[in-house]
Amino acid sequence: MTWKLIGVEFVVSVWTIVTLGADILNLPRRNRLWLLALAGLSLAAIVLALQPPESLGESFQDMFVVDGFGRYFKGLFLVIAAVVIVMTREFEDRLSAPLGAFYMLLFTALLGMLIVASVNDLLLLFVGLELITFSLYIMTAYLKTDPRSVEAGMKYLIIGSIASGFLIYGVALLYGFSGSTHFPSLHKAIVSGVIPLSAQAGFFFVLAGLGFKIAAVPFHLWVPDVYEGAPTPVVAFLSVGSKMAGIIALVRILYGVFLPLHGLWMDTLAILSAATMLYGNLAAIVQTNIKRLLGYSSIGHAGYLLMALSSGSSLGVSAVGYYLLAYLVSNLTVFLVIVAASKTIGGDHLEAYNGLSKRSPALAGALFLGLLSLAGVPPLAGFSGKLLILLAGAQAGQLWLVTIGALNVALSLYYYLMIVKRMYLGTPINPSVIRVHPVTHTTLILLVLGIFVLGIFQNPFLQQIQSAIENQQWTRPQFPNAEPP
Amino acid sequence: MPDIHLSPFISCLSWTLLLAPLIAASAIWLFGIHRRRLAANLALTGMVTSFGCALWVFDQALRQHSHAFAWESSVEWLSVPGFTVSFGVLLDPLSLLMTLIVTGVGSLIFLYSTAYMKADAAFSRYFGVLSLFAFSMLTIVLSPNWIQLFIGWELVGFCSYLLIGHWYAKPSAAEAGKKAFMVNRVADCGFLLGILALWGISGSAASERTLHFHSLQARLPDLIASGAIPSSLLTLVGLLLFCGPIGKSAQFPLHVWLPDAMEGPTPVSALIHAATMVAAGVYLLCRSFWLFAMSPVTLSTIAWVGGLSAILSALLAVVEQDLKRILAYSTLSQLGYMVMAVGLGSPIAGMYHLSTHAFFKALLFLAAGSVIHGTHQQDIRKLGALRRSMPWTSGSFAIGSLALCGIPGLSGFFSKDAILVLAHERNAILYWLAVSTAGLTAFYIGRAWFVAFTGTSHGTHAHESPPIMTGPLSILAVLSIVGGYLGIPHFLGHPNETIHWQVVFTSISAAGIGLALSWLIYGRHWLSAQKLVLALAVPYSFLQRRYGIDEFYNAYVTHIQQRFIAGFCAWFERACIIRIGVNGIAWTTYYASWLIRLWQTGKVQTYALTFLIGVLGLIFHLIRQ
Repeated sequence: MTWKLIGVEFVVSVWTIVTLGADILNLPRRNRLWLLALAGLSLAAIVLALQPPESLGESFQDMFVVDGFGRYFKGLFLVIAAVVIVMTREFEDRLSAPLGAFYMLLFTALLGMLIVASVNDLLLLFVGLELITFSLYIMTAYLKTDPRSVEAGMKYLIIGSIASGFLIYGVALLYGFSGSTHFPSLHKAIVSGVIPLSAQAGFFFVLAGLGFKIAAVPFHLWVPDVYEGAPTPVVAFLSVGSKMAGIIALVRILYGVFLPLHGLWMDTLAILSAATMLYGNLAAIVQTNIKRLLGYSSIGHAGYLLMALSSGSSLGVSAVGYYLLAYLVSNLTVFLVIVAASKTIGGDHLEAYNGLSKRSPALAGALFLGLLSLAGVPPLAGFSGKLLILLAGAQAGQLWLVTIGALNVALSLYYYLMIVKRMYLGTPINPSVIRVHPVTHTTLILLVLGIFVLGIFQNPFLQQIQSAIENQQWTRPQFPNAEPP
Repeated sequence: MPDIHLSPFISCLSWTLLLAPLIAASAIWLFGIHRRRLAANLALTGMVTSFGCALWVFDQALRQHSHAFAWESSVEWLSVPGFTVSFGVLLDPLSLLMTLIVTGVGSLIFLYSTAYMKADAAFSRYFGVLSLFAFSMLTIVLSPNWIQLFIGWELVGFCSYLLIGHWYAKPSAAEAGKKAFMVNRVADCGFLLGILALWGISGSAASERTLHFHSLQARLPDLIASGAIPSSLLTLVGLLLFCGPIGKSAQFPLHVWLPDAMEGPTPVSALIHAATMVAAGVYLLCRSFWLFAMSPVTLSTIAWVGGLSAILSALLAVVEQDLKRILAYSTLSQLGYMVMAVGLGSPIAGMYHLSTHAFFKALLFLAAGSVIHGTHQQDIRKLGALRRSMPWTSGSFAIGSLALCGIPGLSGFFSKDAILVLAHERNAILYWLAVSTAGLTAFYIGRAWFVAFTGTSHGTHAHESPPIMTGPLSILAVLSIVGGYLGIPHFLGHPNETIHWQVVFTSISAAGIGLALSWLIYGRHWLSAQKLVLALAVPYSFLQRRYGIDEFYNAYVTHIQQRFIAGFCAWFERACIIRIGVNGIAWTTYYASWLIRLWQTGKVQTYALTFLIGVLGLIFHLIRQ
């Protein structure tokens, strides 16, 4: 029974060893390693798809839960990993250190994400999150000869350790209060009695630790430096996968455990959301490096996600699910273009993107659509995501926050369109044509297709997400705000 | 209660009738824009199909026992809670008559255009817009509700703009198009307000608001009788709605665009600015006559505006030198007759005159077009003796002129007589205004005839137009002659009327005096035109300045609107919106961005400290709660 539940995680953890071993044995050749990695992901995807619905349940003394909500995000994590592998294939000649180890780290980080998607216990949550961040520390510093990469890894490690410290301290305080780290027991303790200040502080420490993961103000300052220094596939993984893991953990904790205390966190999250949106989008305006700019943009997106979380309604959770999906396709499109283009155009400076449309119309078109979708322009994926979040905010009565969110769309549009302007109106420094590998090309087409499909047909996906939320195994939540009409 | 049953066959016919020109227009714009023959053929096919369907429906209608049929077929187009807009066709005697005129005269003018526009570079564009116009006009005519009518109303205005400015490289044509469009916009503003007000008052406790003609007609009288709608409000609605016809049918004081609209190709002037579009205002008045009739104030306003338009425009036609502009003023004057007829309480008389006018005015315009085609000249002083070089054209023009004068036996006589009888019964002042107009009409058209078609040639090498142009002329000439015997008032449900001899005698004398005077002055030169002008210098120059209305509008626009209103808006735009609003926001954002950047020191100590402050802030927030 247990084996069926952790099938996906099992495949992924086996593949950490397979990729490493294959690299050591030089079987297959270095430039075929990505195929092996993709094979592992496909296997995991098949296992995930074959998990029969009746196998849903808990295991490992209820620490690990498989429900619709978790499975939805596990699927998304596998997609992210697949696209990151395609990026790594483009990037591999710039990775000096052993490639097999890089794939191994990718799989360990993925394993951490899959665990976080199924987590039902604070300690397991901590383990999952650490698995992610530890792998990412090393991956960030993977360009050993590039001082910026090493500096980024170092900064990430230091700030990440502080965050983990707060997180585990918070877990300890909560354990002290309830005598358990198990979500249902914690929930029971919260519902039944008076909550001492120490436990509330513990809850906020956990929030701070997770705030670091999703890059919320004021736990965000590492983001621009790390995004600028780290290898681009790692940045993509960080900005989509790691952020998604943090959000899932927040949903599980806020809605699965601390919903009765919504008065405590809804306002706090709303304020954090406003600060995060404004900071990220304002600071992005003056950036000159595309990866740094996207770092600030990802802070801005974290603000939107916090707005949805602060709504305290099931619509808010659906909006989070949809927004993450839209963010995934849009952001991965953007990063894939950056990876594919950076080798030829030389560097990540914005000026390098001048006249990209003349050098590669396909890349410029994909980047254009990806950026517009990130900004939230209809009929692209990002628009539907933002619309749902703003609806959730308005339904929760936080009109001031919705106003700030809407204003931030304009701000973000400005810097996204600055890139578009460079691509289409700028004159290229070097007019040589950029060649795009067919694998990258195909992936780009699929992602752009996803951007359109998600923007035009919301309902099938939204229903999927809603049924996933309804089928989750947490204590059935009593949402403080009204159900959507 | 009218019969609203519509058989599937007639429904199918009527939709084809409406959509054929639209399909033709789309096909021309998509495939025919570089293929001249294809474009012309498509446009003609669309129009003739439409006419054929109209005839077929007409045939079906004649088999009805009663003339009070009203067939309707519509689809729901837009639906929000509390408000539904449908798009469809409404066929009753009124719309059927108008459809026959639009498609019938339209077919002839389309055919004529193929020859007239042969040398034009933008031949396909011309037919594309013309087909679109036909569809738009049918949208108005067949509309079962005010919304669809308004859409068609704006569409014909747009097509008219495109066609007046067809030769847009010529500054005067571009200006004329712009003027027509803007003057109509002013009128449509009131019209739209009227429609909205009508919608506002149409609701009742039992049913939701509507803009459907039949529902309104069934509902409003009860609402008024019960006192739910005050009569002053009804008058206001009526007057606002009348703004639409004032603009579209070019009544005083918004008539200024129609003479300038003669910059467009002559077939366009014939179809749009004489026979159909400008008549849409009159059609609208007839369509909702019951609504206007409920307010005596509205009705008398309509009558007076019509009567004054008729005589004032006729006076202007007397001093005009341009052949097409004479006809344009004549159109204004005749439209005034029709509006006056509606205002005096007889929409049937108005529609009757509209029909005959469509025949003889289209004929006059096409004949004028033939003259322009043959001589490249439209100033009557430079024309002369065309009777010999262009026999067909001259014959047609003569028949059209006689019909316009109201010479007994021709179509214009019957319809004008119906209006004069009406005026004689209802309002003495308007009656004498109308009679004077009849005299003036005979005088100015006689003047045009004697100056341009008789006398001596001025060295212009005129040649007769090809049969494809004279063919439509002949058909229209026949219609202008027999138009009075077709039983149009009977079809509209009017009982046969006995002839009112006193009115007949007066109108014939007025026309006779007008014609005789013009013959004496311009045919025989017994009285010198120059001396007359000198003797009547003051009124002549006043007429030459067109009562100073254009000057007044220009002065208003340049000295008041441009200087004060537009000046203030421009200042507000520059100082407040751009400097403070747009640039202010941009600078604020930029500096905020720059300030935030300072936070990003690159030192990990700062980052850790910020993290710590963040956590402390959270705890502080917690304790304060």
